[in-house]
Amino acid sequence: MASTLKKIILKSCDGKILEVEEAVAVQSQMIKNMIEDDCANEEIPLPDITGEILSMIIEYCKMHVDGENNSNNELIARDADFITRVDLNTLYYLIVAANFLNVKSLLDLTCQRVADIIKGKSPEEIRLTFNIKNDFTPEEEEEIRKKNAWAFDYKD
Amino acid sequence: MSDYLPVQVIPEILKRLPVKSLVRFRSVCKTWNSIIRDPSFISTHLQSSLSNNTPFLLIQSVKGIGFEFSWHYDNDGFDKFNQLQLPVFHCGSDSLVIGSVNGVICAQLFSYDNSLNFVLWNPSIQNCISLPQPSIRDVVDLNIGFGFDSKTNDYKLLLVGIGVEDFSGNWINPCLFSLNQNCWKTLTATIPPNYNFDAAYGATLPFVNGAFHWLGFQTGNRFSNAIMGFDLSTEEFMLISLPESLIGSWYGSLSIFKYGESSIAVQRLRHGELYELWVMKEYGVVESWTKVLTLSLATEPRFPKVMGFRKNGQVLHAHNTKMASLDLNSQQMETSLDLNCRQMEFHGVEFGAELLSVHSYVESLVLLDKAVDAHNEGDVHHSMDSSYLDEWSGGEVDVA
Repeated sequence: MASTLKKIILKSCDGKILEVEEAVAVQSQMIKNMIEDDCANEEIPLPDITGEILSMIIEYCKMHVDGENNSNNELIARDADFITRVDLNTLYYLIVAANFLNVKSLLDLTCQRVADIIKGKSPEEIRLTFNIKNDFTPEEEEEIRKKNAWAFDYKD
Repeated sequence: MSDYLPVQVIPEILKRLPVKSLVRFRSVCKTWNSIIRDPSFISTHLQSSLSNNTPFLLIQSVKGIGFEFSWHYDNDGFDKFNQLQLPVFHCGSDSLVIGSVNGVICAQLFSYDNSLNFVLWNPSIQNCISLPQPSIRDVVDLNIGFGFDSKTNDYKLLLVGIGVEDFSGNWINPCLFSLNQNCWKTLTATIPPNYNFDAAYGATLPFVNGAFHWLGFQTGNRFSNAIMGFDLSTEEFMLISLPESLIGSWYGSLSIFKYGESSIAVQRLRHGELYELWVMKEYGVVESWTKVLTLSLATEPRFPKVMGFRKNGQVLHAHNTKMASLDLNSQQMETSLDLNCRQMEFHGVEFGAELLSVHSYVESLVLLDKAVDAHNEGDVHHSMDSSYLDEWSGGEVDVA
């Protein structure tokens, strides 16, 4: 078993180098696997993650390692505090990064946050939010909307 | 947001959304539409809904010659659910709920010609499928069970009953409906020899551990009881032994319930002033039968009827026309209580009618993919359009 003081070196796509304690880094299942496979001795390049996002993820992981002995409620409160400070754009990059690094609790937290934000929205607002192109023909869209007209009274 | 979200995280976000949002978001784009309709997403969403959402209790009561329904949250306040967000489930007075599994409610619709009409209804997506008629007709006593076969991902309906012209009282061959195959089949399996049972009108056959359960007795002896079961996967009947004192009780004094998510419980009435509640703590292990409650009734004119268990483990009682919960102290093997209403927590709801059954319900997308089948394949599933539904659903959730 490696010492918990061992440092893991992460390199963001914009060239920022971050040294992270192993105990913090293994919150990422991906990095944990790399350590177990003895592939984490040199710096780990993270092609799609900027330094800013990587710092936030490390902050989050550190908060969870430091808070291991805290009550569940305290952790929930800290998570809530962390996630409400994040704007939608950053949230998107956090999801992509949490998914890539496989930090399950952060993926849960960010996805839940997005779900909470979008649940009352209309399909048009969803397309704007996610920059999704409507690929239905007007007839197809009309057909789906007609069949599910009851779901368009917005009180979710 | 940004250009794209990795396709694999979209279901991660969507599985946390209420059903109504998801139905609306089908029109966002083709990718979202196919994710939401995908059977594996439907089942991921169901698991998320089962573990995170407060379940509802669907309470059916008798009113006049028909039935009435009422929805409540299974929460501390037993709050009534009146909003139309979860829609439009208020069966007509001529329909009886058989069971509720994974957000799908099975109901029997009564008609004047004695035909057997069943529907599978998911109220949260407002989809209703009417089942083909079984081949058996003119059946008097009928036990009906509705359950989910997790091995084949299939919803099934079981009919066991006595034929009207069979004066010997022999049981007809049981019939089983499979939604995947959309047909009934007559089973070769028969109920265990030398055993018999009375059909329990209006009662649900508890569905637990992939099997239906009901109470049976040795033919000709209503003081020699056992639990009869039918396993949906193996399609075989089975017997489960009761504890000694329940085997020898009068058959008519016993009733059976689902206990938690994985086992069964039996209520026994004694001399009209005592009731006992037994729980099979470990499903299928006869030695694990435990008497968890003995309740004596000195003052009440009418016995509280056990209706089932709540998510928090409390026993739900029908108390005349009211509903009450009773906390079982699970630390104690046996709790003796004198029932003066103080120990019961009443729920401030007056049903004004005899309470018939309680079903747990959770919102889900199940049947959403079937609805598409029905649309594409014409008559295979007779998906009802809303005009037909309006004839037998009031379109309101409130029963007050």
